Amino acid sequence: MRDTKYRIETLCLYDYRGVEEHLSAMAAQGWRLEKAGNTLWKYRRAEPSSLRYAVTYHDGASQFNPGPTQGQQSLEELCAAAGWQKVCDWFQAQIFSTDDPTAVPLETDEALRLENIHRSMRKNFLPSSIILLSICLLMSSSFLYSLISGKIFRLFESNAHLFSGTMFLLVAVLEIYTLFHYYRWRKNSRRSLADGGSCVPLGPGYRCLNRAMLVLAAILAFLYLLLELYGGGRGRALFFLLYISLLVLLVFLVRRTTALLRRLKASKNVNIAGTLIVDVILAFALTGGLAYGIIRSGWFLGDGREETYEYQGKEWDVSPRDDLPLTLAELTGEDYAHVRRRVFNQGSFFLPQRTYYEAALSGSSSSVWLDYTIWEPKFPRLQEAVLEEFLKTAGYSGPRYGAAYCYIPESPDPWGADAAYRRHIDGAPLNTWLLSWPGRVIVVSLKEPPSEMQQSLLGVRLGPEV
Amino acid sequence: MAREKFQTLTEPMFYILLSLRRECCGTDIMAQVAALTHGRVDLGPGTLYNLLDSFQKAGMIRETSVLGRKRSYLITSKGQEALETEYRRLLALTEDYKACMEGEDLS
Repeated sequence: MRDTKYRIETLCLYDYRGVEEHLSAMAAQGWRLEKAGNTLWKYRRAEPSSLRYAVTYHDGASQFNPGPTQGQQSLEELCAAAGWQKVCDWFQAQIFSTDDPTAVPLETDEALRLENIHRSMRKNFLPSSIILLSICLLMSSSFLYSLISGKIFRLFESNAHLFSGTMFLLVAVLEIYTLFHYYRWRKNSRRSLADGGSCVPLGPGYRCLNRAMLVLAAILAFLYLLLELYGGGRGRALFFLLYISLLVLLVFLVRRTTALLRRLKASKNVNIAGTLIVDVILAFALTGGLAYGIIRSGWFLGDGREETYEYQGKEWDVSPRDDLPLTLAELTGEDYAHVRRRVFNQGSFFLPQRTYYEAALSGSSSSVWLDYTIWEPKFPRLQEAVLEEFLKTAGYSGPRYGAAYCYIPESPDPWGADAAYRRHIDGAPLNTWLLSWPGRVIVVSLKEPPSEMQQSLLGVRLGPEV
Repeated sequence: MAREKFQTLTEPMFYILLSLRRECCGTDIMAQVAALTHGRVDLGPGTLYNLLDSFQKAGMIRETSVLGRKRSYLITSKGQEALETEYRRLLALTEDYKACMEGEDLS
């Protein structure tokens, strides 16, 4: 039987009643709080008892202090004289317990308690909530813009974008609610105090929402992994797991640094500076190292790792893959001695995107290439959004810097498509076409313009299966 | 701010200042308040700590000695003034009460 257990607690810092009731209930079940982390709390097994817990606040408390401040020590001395033993700190909250049912409560003046809580909240909870909210709003701004403006192509262009945008937005909503919740609680408590009452109880609402958000975040992360695996993005799923593991390791190492500096009795400022330096170095070393490793290994450079050889200064496949919907040999009817094929699996569950690229060389002639990307929007509005994304430059009349690209409609008949557009640069046509069928959009680029027969073959092979 | 805060004193504030006419530490104050009020006024250690801190910041008491975790305090002239003002306010309340009640008895 284990003597310790860890629990994820979703209590909020100013919910002193919630903390007291929860800890008393845990003690009645035979678990006593030993250490309170940010959300992970450690309990030790003990005889079930009717232990009373009480929370008071000390705005001078900090996890960076080398030990309890003189003020905290005086508070502990007073509490001990009244029969209360210190359990641990939880940021500015000071948690005490007693087995004496007659011990005088820690706080006997509700107005002072409210004032004290607000002082502590201003020290830590409120600034960190505002900073977190700002970061989340910044990180989700493009997601939010796409959502508000209806430009949903960007929203669905990748599972990662969809997942991270939703996550940042969720955290932003939680932080807005947290701030609103605190100020509403404070306002209601002040009103209650003016009427001769006490600080108002918080109720389980915030805790439930916090817990629901945690569960939702876990479900979203799981869904993201599933969608990536389903869409063939095993590399991205693995990258996500590795990235999360590195973040957890980073948090762990940063906390260990703070704890080590505390043990070494470093002053608060030295501890903050040391922790910050270690945090920045580790963040660069871990995430930067991961990014460097990925670039070096070519992790995301197409599916598979084909063996290659060099000819005429270019790389060619030893055994070219054969899973392309259409190859250059099939399109031109020629045999090529040297072939290089790549497949990029991107997009999201709602908008799968697969890019195929092939370059080929025959004899001493110059190389030819074929490049096509296929989108399969899962609903009609998304199909419109993909087309809008490519066609939006057509109606643009503002100032231009550099070359101006646009797609101009053409007859879709040779392709057997519903709509066809050719790409132009400053009025001159390029060998790139945008083709559309219900549930499928493709952009195809070739070195030479295709013949009518080739257009038809491209339409049949790359268009939807009939 | 502090002046406004201590314009009138709550019962715990009044008894803490009263106890500090003579130098004493926090635990002595708790014992004295309990003895003076015969247990009528509850003074929690958290509340006492915060009040001592606020009084000290407002210059109404001063720290006289620190022995380990034990800190002793003594009232200042400013604190004494606040205590006397409160006493006169309470007296005025009592006088007003008496005047009203005696007036009712006569009629």
